[in-house]
Amino acid sequence: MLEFVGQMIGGLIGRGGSSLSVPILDGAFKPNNLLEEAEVLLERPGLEDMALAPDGSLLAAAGAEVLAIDGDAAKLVERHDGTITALTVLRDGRRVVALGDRIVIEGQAAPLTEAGGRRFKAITALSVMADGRILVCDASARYDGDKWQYDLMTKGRSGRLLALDPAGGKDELLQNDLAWAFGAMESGNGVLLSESWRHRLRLAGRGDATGELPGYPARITPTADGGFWLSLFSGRAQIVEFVLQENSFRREMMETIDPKYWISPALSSGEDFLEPLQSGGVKHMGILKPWAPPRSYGLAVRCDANRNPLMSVHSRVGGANHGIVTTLERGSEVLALSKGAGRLLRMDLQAIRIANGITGGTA
Amino acid sequence: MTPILELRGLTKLYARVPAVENINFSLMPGEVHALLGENGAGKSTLTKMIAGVVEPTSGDILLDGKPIHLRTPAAALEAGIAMVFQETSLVPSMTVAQNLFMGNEQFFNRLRGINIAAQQFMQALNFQVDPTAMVQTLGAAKKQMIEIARAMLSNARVIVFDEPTATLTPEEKKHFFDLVRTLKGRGVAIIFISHALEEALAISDRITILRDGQHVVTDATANFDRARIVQSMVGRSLSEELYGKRKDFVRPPGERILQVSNLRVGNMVRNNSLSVFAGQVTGVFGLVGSGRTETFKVVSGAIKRNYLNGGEVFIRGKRVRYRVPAQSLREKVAYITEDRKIEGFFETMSIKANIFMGRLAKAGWRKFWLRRSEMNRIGEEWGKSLHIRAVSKDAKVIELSGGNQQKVVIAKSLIQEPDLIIFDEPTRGVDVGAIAEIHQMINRLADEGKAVVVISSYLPEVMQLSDRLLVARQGRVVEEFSPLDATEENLMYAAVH
Repeated sequence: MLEFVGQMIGGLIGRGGSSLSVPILDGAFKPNNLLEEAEVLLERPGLEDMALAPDGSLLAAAGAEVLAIDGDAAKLVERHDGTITALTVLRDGRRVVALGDRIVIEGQAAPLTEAGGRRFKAITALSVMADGRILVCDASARYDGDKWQYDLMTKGRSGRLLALDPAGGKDELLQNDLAWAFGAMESGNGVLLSESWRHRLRLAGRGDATGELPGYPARITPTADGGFWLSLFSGRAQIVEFVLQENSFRREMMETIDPKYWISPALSSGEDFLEPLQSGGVKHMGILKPWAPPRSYGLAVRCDANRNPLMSVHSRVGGANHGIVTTLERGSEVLALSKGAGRLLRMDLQAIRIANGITGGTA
Repeated sequence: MTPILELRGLTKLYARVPAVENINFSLMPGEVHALLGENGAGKSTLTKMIAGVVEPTSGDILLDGKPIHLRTPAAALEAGIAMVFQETSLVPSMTVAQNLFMGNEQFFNRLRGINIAAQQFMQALNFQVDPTAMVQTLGAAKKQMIEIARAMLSNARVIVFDEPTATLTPEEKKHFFDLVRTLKGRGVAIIFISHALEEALAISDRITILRDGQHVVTDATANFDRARIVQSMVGRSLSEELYGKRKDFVRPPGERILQVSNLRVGNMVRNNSLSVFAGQVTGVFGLVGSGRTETFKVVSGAIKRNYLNGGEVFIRGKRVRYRVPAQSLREKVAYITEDRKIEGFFETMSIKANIFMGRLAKAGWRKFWLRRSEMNRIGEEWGKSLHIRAVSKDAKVIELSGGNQQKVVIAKSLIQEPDLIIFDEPTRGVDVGAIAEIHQMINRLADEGKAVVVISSYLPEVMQLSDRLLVARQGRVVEEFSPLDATEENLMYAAVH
């Protein structure tokens, strides 16, 4: 009751959860052009996820296909009967793909369609744990993965994180009531998961969280030093926070406007003059720049084992390589998947360090 | 040519300890003479004797070649000697015009008359200050302008400027230098005290350097460079410590200790956002009025943000809204003020009592269990660790030099064991020796993993100290630079455009 009254008062005076504030891109999040200037390894519509096999080879999922990427060559590995929404590889080398509402494990005839007494609806990420179980992010119980904007605009929090035993053992519900679960990995402290609509990383089953991220977090991939790469598929903007508080406006927008023109984050933009938020400008350092509120943005951040951000790569407003959903570190290179542009990008780790002004440390 | 002002063997003893000893000094008509030295070198004592504030113990003051006895500031003013003090000596609760004409009041004063006269006089000096404004509502730069105007109004032939540019913006400084040149052209002799060595080199004709109350050297400015000045001032080469080589290493960021999102404070802070990380020095550069101080005063609870839609402040991810600074102390936030005389210490209390204040503030209700003996221990411990130099351990803070006063203010905050330490203009009005010590302390705090913010208007200082550089303009942070690739030109450009 008190919380409700607090929220009501906060809503009136713009405080607490009703504050329209968004974090700034500074410190380790200081913008650069590294994603925009990255080498394009592969360009293909429908690119969704990628994973490293135990032998270090790279697999990517595009549409219904799984591709083996060798240099800039892509070789078809397998084709499924639905759009792949997540991909991972087990320690024994078997591929696991999610097709939205089911999981197909290589070598198993029947796909997994439910867990914990509930059918899968929008599987967005898969990750393998040390004990061989698979972490599954089922982002929403209400909307399919491609309808993520609906889930955001209806303030959905029906996502869940599960640990599945591929050998048919007991499933475990690690966390439910998630506001769009879009990434998970096992870390030294537990299972780390990303919750997009709450702009935070949290440890499953615990209150410990890293909040107030400047974007909407997506998949998390571990690095050799115990840290991880976190992809953020779009940046936060005050105008979106505002729309999320205006219930009647939002309802009308959802009823009357095509979702691709909604005032909401997007994976790509700049393709149509009807898109909102693309006009306006701000003068910085004597240069007229596109207006700061981004509709789409490219961002991935490298964090250390304590979840402190160390460095980041960006494709800024006006760029093309937006909607980063997966970022991997392989040896001295960093690979990023831009879902917005349908591109697989390659960057040099040392160049990222230098561009971020890192002169010491381990990252 | 006869010097307009000459000092011969001037000595001032306090409790038999010489503050200045056997000083010989001359000032020619139309000359700008820079007087340099560390804090505690005796500059202030010397100039106070010239301005009639302090009487010399021995030695002579000659004006136009004739000995004079200046027993009061009024006598000095009558003789044509005016002094513009380092920290303003204005009455905050009076208007600009009233301050300007203070001491020259008639039996019957017509307020409108002095307002008009003040307006005309300020306009003649091209100072944009409303004569009817209360002084307490003005910023430091405008207060300085009134001080200067007051000296000009008295038709002084000798003007002593004590740190006149410390609070001025670059534009205001340029205007001030133009003014000094105009005065010089009229034959007014100027004694110019500054810690900004570049200014002394740029504007003065001769430079005199004092050290420990003794005269070290007087020479034409053309014969000096920064290294020689610093060497003469401190007796050791500090230039490397102070202005070091270009930074080639920055500390990696630790945990995000502070996050400010879309902060608004009246029309001073407009939608300001920034982050501060542990284990780093975050430098904040900006001109006067850029909202830097107000932003961090909100963070420390010294002032409040807008009630409606005032933005958010997070300390270690926790949303906070402090009503008073005591609340921020509990979250381990310390703000070290830029205005130490007003907000930093109790001037008539001893060093140890002032430092103990910090301990009391941290103790909360447990303060009743603290003993006075702890005050002595704390005073001694911190005095030693920060090298606070005083005539005696019971010396009042007002009796200390600017650098030592600043160290007391810093000690008062550090005793609270903060994790986020905000230094606002930490070396303003501080001598070069103390600057080096304060810089070392700031670096040590960052090395210990503390989140340190340094707000400074002095570019070499922020560039040398910072691991991240934020530039504020018109109430918000507009750019972030790495000190590895920032240049003074870039920073200044971001601050003004």
